[in-house]
Amino acid sequence: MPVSIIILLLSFSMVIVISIYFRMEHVKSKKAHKIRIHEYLIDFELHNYQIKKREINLTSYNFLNYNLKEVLQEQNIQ
Amino acid sequence: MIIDSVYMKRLFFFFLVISSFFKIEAQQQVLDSLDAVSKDQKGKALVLTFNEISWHYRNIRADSALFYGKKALLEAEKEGDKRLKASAYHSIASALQVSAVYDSASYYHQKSLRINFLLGDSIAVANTYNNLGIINDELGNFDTSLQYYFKALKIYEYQTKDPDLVPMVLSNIGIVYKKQGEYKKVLDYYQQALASYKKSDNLFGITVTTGNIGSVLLRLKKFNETIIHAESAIEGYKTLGYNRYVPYMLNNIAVAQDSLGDFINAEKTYKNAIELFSSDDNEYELTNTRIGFAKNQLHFNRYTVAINELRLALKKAKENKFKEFEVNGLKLLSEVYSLQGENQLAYQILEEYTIKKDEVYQLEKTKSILELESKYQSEKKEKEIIQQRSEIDKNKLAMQLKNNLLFGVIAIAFLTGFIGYLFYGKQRLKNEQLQKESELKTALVQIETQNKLQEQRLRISRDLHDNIGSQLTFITSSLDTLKYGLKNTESNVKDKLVALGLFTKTTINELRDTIWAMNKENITFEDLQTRISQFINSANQLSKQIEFDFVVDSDIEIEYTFTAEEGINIYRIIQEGVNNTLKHAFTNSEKQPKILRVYIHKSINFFHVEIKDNGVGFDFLQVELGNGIANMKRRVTDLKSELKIQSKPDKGTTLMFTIPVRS
Repeated sequence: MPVSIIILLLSFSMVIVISIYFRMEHVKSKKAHKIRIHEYLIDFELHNYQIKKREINLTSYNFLNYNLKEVLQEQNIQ
Repeated sequence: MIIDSVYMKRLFFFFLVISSFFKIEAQQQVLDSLDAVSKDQKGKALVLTFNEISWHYRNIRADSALFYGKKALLEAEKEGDKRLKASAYHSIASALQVSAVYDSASYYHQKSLRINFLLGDSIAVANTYNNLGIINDELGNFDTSLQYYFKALKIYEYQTKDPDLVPMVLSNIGIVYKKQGEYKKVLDYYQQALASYKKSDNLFGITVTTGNIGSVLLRLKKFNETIIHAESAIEGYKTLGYNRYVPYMLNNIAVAQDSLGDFINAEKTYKNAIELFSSDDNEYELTNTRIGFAKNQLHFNRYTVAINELRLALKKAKENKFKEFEVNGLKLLSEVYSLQGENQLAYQILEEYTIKKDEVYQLEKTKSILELESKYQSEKKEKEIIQQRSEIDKNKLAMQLKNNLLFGVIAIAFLTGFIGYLFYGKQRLKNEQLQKESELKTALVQIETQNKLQEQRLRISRDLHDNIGSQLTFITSSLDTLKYGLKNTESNVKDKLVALGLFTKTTINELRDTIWAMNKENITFEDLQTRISQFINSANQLSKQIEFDFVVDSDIEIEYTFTAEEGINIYRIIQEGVNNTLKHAFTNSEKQPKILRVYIHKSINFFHVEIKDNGVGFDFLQVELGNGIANMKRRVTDLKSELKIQSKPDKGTTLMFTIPVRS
């Protein structure tokens, strides 16, 4: 078999091996990234949930304030 | 005996030469008609006709054969047909072969061989092998010649239905062995050839081969068998009508009979042979036969007859330069004179014989030296060719090495580039991931901060509401209770309590607004509008003699959001503006109706807020503006705008400011 063909075959096999290795690395890296993003999103959701929950509380304070205003107005009228 | 090598070669190389020899005139007619036909032909047919003409010319005019062979090649090249080209090469090679231009003949045979080999035409390949065998035989390359013959034989044995081809090659092999003096082998191959001819009932082949076997048997001193074979051959030639070859056989018989001591019959046979050779003008064989006949006559002591025959033979030998016969003749003549007792004459002739013998020897020596020289030259040439080939191979190897190196470098460069690309891709992906993660981290930090901030706000709001708010409410309630409890007391204490109550209510309102603003990250326009409406309503409740008007352009999006800071600033500015109007605008004013108008509208880039009254107005030069205006200006500056105040005595006052619209 001519040497040039052997070189060509070797190159191709190396390309295939390297491609497989890099593909595996790529998949691994993407998986790790996905996990990290997921963790961030969970944290984010947690904070969001806390904020929303607190907003409900704040709205209730507004409501209370409104009631207070009504009370004050009533008192004023009196 | 000489017949064998010369005649057989012609026989097996051309095969039909002998028969055509007798038909030259007929052949000329054939050639003329072929020439005429060729004038109307084209392409393949023309090539085949030229080949045919070349074939017919070979035994008549070799140069014409070569000429037509070349014409055939030209036409074949025009046609581009490989098979036709091969046939043209064969014609040229054959023409050159009969002209004894063996190098060129070999070259063209090789070209024809290559094409036929590629085309898979095994019979044509075998024919070329046979011709190359003949050429190498002629050149004295017996080993090479035998190799070619055996190759041809192998192909013919398995791939041809023509029964004459196998014995033809067998006979050619026999000829080569004969030149090497291997008579037993010669006999063996001739007998194989004869058996083949007998199988195919080829009378011509049987006759010629039988005659040749006879010649070999003569060499092996098997005289009786020689006579049988030669007689059989004579019968064959006579049947075939090839009488020209009968005296050859007769000569062989005569030699055999002479050797067996049958001198009388030998004499008759010699005479017969001489007669036939004479009628054919075959001087060469005639000379040889005369010498044999002279030798035979000595057995009868017929010296005069012998001398006469020898003199005739010597004359012809001298004329035709048959050196070998001249030497043989002189030797025999010297012996005859010696037997006659003419010693002086015998001596003279012996001397002449010695000189001639030396000449022949010298000639042979020169011939063999020339042969050796030519052999040396051809070997030298071969060596040079080998050297050149080795040089070419070396160059090829170097070129191959270079190519391999180039391939290697290209492969490495490609691999490096590929790996680089993969690394680049990997790094890019990593960067993208890091960027995304960093964005998320920042968002997370922001939301964390917001969460903490909100938590703080909630805590402060709770504290303000639960502690200060409730305490202020308690104070207001207490003051009201106290006010009703002190019904008939001093009016200035009561007024003070009312003022204190009002201040506390204002503080509660302020606190409520602060909590409202603090609790919100963003304040929608709708929210702000509601809040301002509520404030104006409450103000209206307190100052019923003033006509309040709060106008908002309908095209303002109620979903538009301000930051909490912006919202509280806008609210506070309007609150301060309305309060100032209530405090100062209508003091000592008889004007009816008293109008206070708050107007919010929107252009492309700004919200415009206008607080306008038809009160007493003021002169900027005479009035010193208080803390309220300063606070308003500060808040307007925070809104990245400018507070504009337009006022003239009795013309009312207008406060204006803008809020930039966020994209």
